[in-house]
Amino acid sequence: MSSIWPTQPADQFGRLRDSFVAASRLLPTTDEEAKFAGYPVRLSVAGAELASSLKRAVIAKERSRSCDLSVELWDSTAAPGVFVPPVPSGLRTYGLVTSDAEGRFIVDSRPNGLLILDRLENRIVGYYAGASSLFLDERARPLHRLLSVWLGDRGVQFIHAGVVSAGDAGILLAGGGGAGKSTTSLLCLLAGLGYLSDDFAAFTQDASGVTAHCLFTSAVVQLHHLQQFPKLTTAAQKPNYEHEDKSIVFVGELLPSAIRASVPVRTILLPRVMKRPETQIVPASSREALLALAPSSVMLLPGGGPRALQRLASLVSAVPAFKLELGYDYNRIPALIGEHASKLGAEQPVE
Amino acid sequence: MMRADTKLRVREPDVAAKVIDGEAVIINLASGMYYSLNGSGSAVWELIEKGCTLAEASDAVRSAFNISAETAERDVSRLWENLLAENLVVVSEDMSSKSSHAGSIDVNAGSEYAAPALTKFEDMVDLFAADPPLPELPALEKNDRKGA
Repeated sequence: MSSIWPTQPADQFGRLRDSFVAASRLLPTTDEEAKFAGYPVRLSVAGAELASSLKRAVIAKERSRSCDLSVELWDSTAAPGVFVPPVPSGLRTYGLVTSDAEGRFIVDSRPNGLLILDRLENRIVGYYAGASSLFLDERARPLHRLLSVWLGDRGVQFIHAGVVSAGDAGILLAGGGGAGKSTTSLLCLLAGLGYLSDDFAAFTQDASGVTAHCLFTSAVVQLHHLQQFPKLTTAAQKPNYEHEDKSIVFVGELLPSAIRASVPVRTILLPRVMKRPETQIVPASSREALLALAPSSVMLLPGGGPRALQRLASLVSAVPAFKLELGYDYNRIPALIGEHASKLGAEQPVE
Repeated sequence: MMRADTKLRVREPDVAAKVIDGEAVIINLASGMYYSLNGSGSAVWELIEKGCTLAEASDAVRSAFNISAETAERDVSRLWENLLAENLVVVSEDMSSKSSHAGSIDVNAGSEYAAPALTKFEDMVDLFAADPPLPELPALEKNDRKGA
């Protein structure tokens, strides 16, 4: 087999597929299915340790006859004789996402691997240099950059938000870094609310309303925040790299009954840490909600841009927004959120 | 000093904007910065999107808010210069005339005038530098193929 790495993404895709086939003949290959916003995705991973690591944060489902997206990955360190392309020079810490001129092939170049999505054939192929090479985002949110493009093509919009649920009422927590959305999501999880996300989820919108979808059954927690959550400390998985200052909690393993695949979104809350005793929930404008939600949702993921902003504007126009002014009464916050969702028409308030 | 017949256009695809509740949220995908525009500023932004000249936009603001021509021209010019400086817009080469309905602003009766104000937010810049996004992708043909 040739060791030449083609220059065109279309040819690179074919070359990677050849390598995956070769690797799958050498390594134990698992074939499992996961569900992303209702879409069945087949995960074929050559290399047991890599497979085990990648599937921890996804919603598994039983195998079906067909799937909407195929993912073929191999562990390059476990199959050293299989061709692996050279790593591009000058890559930043978290790599680079590029596309061919037509936008058909989306290339996610990482220091520890390479993934290519063929948007027309609905296939992702690629490799990682072993489970121990995976960065925090790859373990907590596998394939999220390419999935944001593929799901976006199907009207499923990624959002940078926490999502929890009280009964059948979804509550979307929006805000930039340090606003308190991750901490609030985890407080709600531990108080018994349903859990969809602490930072990245997705939503769809139609005539019946807005639905939030859980994509990854994980939480990423700052190391110093773990002290607030003793129950999570024992379950926290350390990062693979020293520069990563967060841990992963696989919520789907720790509290599987808390995971909600999807919920109708009844309210948007904009957390903000206030230096006062009591937490309050006060009305906010759609513009404030868009300003809290849009910048990170649009800028942190590929292929978004104007289409993503339009979808987010539609979301905030359809769902009432409120400021969640966080006080020192942490233990009261989940109940307050549950009561708020109840007033907006939830089926079951938090007890 | 900008000419009265100057037109601007939004720097697509790097700049995405949406007016909601009468105020604009603008995102610069090339720099990682985002902005909000107040009511009068958002009205001017919409006039820019419609292809109005500086003179037409100034006149629309003067008429809608019942302020002096001098104040309107000064404030709109200042906003246009700010938008250019932030690389959110460029001078347009389109010299075609606008439609007669493009240069008006709908304002609630009794609204008080506040000069157009552009607020910049830089909190995403560091994160953006570490993980810059790919710009919006072109739509492909309708795709019903399965992945198997």
